[in-house]
Amino acid sequence: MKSNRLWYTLFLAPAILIFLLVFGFPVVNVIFTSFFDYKINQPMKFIGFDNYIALFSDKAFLISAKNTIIWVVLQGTVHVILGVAVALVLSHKPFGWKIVRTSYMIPIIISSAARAMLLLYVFNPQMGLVNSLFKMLGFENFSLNWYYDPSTSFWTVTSGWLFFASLITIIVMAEIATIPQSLYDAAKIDGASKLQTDLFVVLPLLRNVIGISVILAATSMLKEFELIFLTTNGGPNDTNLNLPLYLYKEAMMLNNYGYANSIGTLLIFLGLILIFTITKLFRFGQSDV
Amino acid sequence: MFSVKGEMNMQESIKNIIRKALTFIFLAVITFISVLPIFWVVISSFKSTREITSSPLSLPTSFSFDGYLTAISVSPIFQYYGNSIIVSVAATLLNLIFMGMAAYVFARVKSKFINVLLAVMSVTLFIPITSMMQSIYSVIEAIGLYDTKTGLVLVYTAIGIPITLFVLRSFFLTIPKEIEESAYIDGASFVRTFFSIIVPIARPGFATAAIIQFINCWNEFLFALTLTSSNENRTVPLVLNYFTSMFSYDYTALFAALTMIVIPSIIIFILLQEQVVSGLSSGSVKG
Amino acid sequence: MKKSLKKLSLLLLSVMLIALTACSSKTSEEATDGEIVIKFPHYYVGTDPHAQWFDGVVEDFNKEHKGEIRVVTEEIAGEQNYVDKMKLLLQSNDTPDVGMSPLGLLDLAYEAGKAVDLTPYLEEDPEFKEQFDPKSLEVNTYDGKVYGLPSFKGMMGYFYNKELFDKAGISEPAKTWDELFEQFEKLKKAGITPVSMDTAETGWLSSLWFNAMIGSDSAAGLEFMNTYFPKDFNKPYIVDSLVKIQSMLQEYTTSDAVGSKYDTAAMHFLNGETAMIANGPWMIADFSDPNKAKEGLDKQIGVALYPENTLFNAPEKGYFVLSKDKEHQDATVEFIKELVSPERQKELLLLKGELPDSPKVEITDDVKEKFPILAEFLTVAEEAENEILYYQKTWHNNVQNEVSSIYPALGNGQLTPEEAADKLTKAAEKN
Repeated sequence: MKSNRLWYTLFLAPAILIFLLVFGFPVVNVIFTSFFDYKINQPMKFIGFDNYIALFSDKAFLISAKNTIIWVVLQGTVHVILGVAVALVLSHKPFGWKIVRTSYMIPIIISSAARAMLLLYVFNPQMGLVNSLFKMLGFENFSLNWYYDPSTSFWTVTSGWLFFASLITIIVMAEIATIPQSLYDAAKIDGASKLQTDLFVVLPLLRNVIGISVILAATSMLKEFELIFLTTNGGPNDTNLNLPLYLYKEAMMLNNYGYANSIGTLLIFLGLILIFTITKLFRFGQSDV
Repeated sequence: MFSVKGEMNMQESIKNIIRKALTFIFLAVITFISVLPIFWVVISSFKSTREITSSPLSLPTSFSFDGYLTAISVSPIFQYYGNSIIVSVAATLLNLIFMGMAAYVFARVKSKFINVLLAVMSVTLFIPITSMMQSIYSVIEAIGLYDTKTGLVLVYTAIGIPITLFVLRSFFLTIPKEIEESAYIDGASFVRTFFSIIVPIARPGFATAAIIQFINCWNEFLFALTLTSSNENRTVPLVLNYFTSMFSYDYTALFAALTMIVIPSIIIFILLQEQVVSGLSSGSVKG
Repeated sequence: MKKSLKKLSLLLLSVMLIALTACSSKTSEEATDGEIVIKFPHYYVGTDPHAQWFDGVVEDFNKEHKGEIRVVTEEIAGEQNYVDKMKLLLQSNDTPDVGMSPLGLLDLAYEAGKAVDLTPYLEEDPEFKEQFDPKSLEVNTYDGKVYGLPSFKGMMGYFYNKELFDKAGISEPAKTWDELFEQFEKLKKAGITPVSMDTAETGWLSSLWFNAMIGSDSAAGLEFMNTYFPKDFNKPYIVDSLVKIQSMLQEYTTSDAVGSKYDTAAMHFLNGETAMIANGPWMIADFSDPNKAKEGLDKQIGVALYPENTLFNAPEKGYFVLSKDKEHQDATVEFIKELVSPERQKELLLLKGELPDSPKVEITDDVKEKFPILAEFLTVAEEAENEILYYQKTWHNNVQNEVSSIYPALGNGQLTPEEAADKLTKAAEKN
């Protein structure tokens, strides 16, 4: 297999080259400048770990870190479970499954700008869909400002992405497509119900792809920005601030690039930790066959 | 005895009905919350701005195509449309070919080095673009690709690295090694084995990765704004802000443009999903 | 093996070629025959009424200077997008020739040492210098040198709905803040929502009230509103104003004001659902736009100064030059001269009621006929005693952003006015 070694290298080369060309310098730059006092129109000054030390006594940073972690956990669990559940249900081709599959995809096809606008109207306290429904049900004076009431704000923002797991669904469905019909038939002969087959035969075979789904879903929350920015902009009173949004505010409003990049560097670390933990947890990379 | 069996059958069928009903409700809810946005966008494109803001969730009182006419006349939407198609298709193709090759290696080679390499190449999953914008601009400017479609294609190909790698690697892992080995024994070369045996088997995986990559390219805004300056190279997401200037917004035109922008993604999705279905129905390669 | 290597490289090569040819090469913007090319990124695009006007100016100018100067524009829809991209270009070596001044951009360009001193151009052409309001040149002056050339100014009072005022038994706009709050109470009793407010983005409508309260509170408040980049918001007049804003958000506005953008708040006023809205003359055209306003609304609208005869009268920061060499600088100034000329200012006045910077532009009868409410506004504006600037010109960027977090928290009771003032101070100190 010595010859394959050469081929492996050649097959990896273009991907690595493209990665290095586009992201090599920028990633190094983010990490490097996080150790500097680096603002627009000022000479850069090396300050060691000062940015990081400042971060941990910065209240807004701590709130954003807490929110980010909650969202990562929710997305890595609830979101993935929902996505896998839809995939399993659809894999049995129930009535109208193609329509459901295409419909479920639409929210992530539409740009975040439109989704944010819709969400604002759905939860609008005066003329929104949700409050209108409550009024129709007989709660005449019902008026809740979902996005801005401190008790509902966080969960209203979360609902903007938590249930829309179609990315997971299509990835998992593609993998289910590779499971041979003979396995289903064998399970049926053994007297297993559909649910039992899904849980004890199919799910274990999906270990790799579910691991990947958890990685993609969880890490997406380290980057989530637009929907928060366009709905509550992190408010009210920082209730919905997360790390990417805080980074954006530091970089774009205050031109405080060194500080912003120290947040960026922490996000890189968080992400790498997530990837390694999830990889360990799902033991993946190991072939099933 | 007969009656007991009948009762059991009854129980079974009741269970069956409940299960079917639950499945139906579950799918109905999912469909409802998902279709709502597109339904609302399309409906709104026929309402006046006043109707949209004052009764956002109502049906239009009359149909008018003014929004579409305004969208076409005040923004270069068609020009951007063409650019978007070129850029998204090129970036998807390049991404699939190069990441497909790399993912194959990531699936077949087991080593610490390979794991670390994969983790490093996934950093773009979690670095907010804000913090890389300036540097990426400098890189693209330095290699002379500022304000070119090639520059955008390059960056978009790179953005999709981690997702495509992960999706395809997981797919390659389901393909038994025996298939390749027997191909080698038959005298097929490495490249030939990959392109004419492995890739066709992994078609559903490629289709899935292509959907995700295409949608991401099609909707990308920040790089499109930063890395281009002339209308010859700009893409369609940039059009949306043409209608939302703070004091002179035109939401009818905005939703008309949105409708026009969303359609290609949905078509691509439906077409590519057929590839996955064909996998579903034709059984499989495993075993 | 060799064969397949060849095949592979052939495949990759062809993919690259397709990609490259499909993505045809850079559009040529380079000069031909010594024509000087001026690069001008701008946000006068789309549904902005400026768009057509601006395209016309560029087209005329390019025709007139054919073979000598050519203005090449880059369309950037959205002010924030424009600023984000300009910041990036300012840090690179590829700066454009002209800049516009929203959100403190001129300050940044000046601090970066990239803005060009325009004083010599004003000195060598006295007629040109005379067209500007000296006050606005002052705003564009740093270290005794002029860097920006404005073409309009921001004047804002508030609009009110006469029909709704009648219903509530109110005869004329309030002279004092206490009287205004009595009117709010009267309107509320009559079942009318008194005022349109917003909190998203930078809470434009709420912020105008907030600023007017500060500026009319006392001599100190007036000075605060006319100071650039204030750092200390822990002042009694700020806390007092925030108390008023809190009560407006909780008692006297629509239930969706907290969290809403300008458009929703404006819609309530344009539908005749609220009695007052703070804004500038550019809104006047909306009152008679059937796509936006209730029919006949324009006949019911009055315009007033804020209590204590307070008026926003803010000279704007203007266009500035970033060109690197004398040749381009001269050409760029040539174009800006055209862009800010009194004739062009007059066009904008007629187009959208935008108030010109130049005292040389007369508000003639045709303007008054087209925008009667504007004429009324200019009359009441003469009564102004407290003239103030507004937050988007004078407060730090992140403080402007901070208010969109503070107003909702005041509205839902998460913050007291004292705490809110402290948060503004903390935000300002970060700069």
